[in-house]
Amino acid sequence: MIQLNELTKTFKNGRGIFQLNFTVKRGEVFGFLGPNGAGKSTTIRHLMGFIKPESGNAEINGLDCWRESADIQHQVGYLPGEIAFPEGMNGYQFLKLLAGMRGMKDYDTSLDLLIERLQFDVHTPFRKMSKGMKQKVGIVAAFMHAPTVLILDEPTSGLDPLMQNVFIVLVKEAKNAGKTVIMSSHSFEEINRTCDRAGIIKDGRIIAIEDVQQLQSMQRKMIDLTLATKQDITVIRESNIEIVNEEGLTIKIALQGNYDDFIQTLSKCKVKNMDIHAQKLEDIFMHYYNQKERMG
Amino acid sequence: MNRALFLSTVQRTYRLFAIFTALILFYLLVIMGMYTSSLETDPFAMLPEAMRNALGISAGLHGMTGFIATGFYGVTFVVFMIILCIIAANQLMANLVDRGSMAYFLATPISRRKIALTQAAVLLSGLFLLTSITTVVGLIVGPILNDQDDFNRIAFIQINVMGFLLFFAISGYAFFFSTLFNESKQSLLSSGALSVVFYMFQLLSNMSNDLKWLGRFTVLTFFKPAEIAVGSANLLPSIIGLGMIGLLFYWGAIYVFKRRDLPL
Repeated sequence: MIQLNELTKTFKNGRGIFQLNFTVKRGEVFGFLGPNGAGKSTTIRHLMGFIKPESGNAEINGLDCWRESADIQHQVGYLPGEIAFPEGMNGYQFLKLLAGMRGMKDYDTSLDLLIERLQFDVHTPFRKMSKGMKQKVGIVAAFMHAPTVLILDEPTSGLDPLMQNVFIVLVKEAKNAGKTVIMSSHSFEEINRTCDRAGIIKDGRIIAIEDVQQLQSMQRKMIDLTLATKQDITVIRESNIEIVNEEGLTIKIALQGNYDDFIQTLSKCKVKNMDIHAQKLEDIFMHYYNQKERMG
Repeated sequence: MNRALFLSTVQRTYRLFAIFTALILFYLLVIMGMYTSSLETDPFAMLPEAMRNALGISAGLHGMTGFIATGFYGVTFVVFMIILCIIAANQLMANLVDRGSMAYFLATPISRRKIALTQAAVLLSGLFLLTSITTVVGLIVGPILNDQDDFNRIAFIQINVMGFLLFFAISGYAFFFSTLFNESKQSLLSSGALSVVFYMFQLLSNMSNDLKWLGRFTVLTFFKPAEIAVGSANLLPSIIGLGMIGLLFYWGAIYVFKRRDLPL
């Protein structure tokens, strides 16, 4: 279990995290979403005991993340957001070192299993590894000691789509085994496929903690439409559909759940071209954030 | 201390220590060889008085040990070892934090204190091994190159023991800066600058009586190879002084590393 109690840290430049409160239960996968610089990594660093809270605290399985950071590591698997391995080693030497530091005796079987699933040559020296390959070493390092809590900072960056799937399966297995997972991400897709709940952080404050399903329903689809006549635009304007932008005969509309309404309306128009894009995660945040503010 | 980390760190740093051991042995043997070939003349006699004083040669040459003490331990040995201490100390801590790989070590159940202690142990073992090898090789080769039989073994051993203690102190502050800073650049710059200042103080204090007081503000003041060779050095205060400085900085390094925020 992971628990944050009024966790606060102000940096010299005035940024930081402020009074964070949330709990990730056992067996839950919690997604941590937010734009760059919002405080995701700062929060994770507190969980790992790299930095000391200014006030409040963070706990993992009842142990204080700063004072008992070494003890906590028995139960934690960590994947850093930025991969940096010590120079002059290969992947196997490095994993063996971590196993040794953890006091693990029989690690070769669990290593082999993970390496086989992620499909890479662990004996490659780090300086010859691609970003994705390093990421795989990092994933093995996080999972190899079968931790009960997983802390994953941007876990799928650098992985190709196939390996992203393998990774998602690993996280689902961990969840089914009753483990607690917290992962930060930019990718709505990734959160969508693995997480039960997601917390949205902006400027160091949690602005929402939502069910992922709920968040999903807030994702808007943006559609660029090119119509035949001005009359067609009037038809759409008179419907309930939100027009975001208008440029000649091309309009941009936003949809959120009202797909049937949209199709019915379009059946009355002559459509010459249509482009659909899913809304970017950051835009969902902004939209969500603005809505909340308006509602006050 | 953690065995796995110790062995892995040794594996990553032994080359650096090996290179410096080779360099130091080479210079030691060359100087020893020079003694025999220039027995009749004092090779430093041509230097002006002030420069001889600055380099600490004023104690005079006293047999082969005195020759090595001034010709090698006075300057070359100290400079090489300072460089080694600074580079090695930086690699062991600041470099790992700078690059970010320290995150993986802290993600294991080994406490910060133990990590710092283990890395310090690698540094001290390296320095100890280097001075031991130098001593043993010197003791074996010295008499072979010397046909005058004026090689003072006891003094030679004393010089090396004091040399090790000096580098216990110097590696102490280098290690301290290495744990204090987040970037290699800052750690290298600080321990480099402090070493240069210490060295300048030593030079100036030797050079003129008016500046003699500067000697009180440099660790190098505790290392007097030429005086040890002549037998006029009082070792106990130096042993205590260097030991205290080293202990204080290593303790400080661990204290700081345990408590500070790390940008990982």
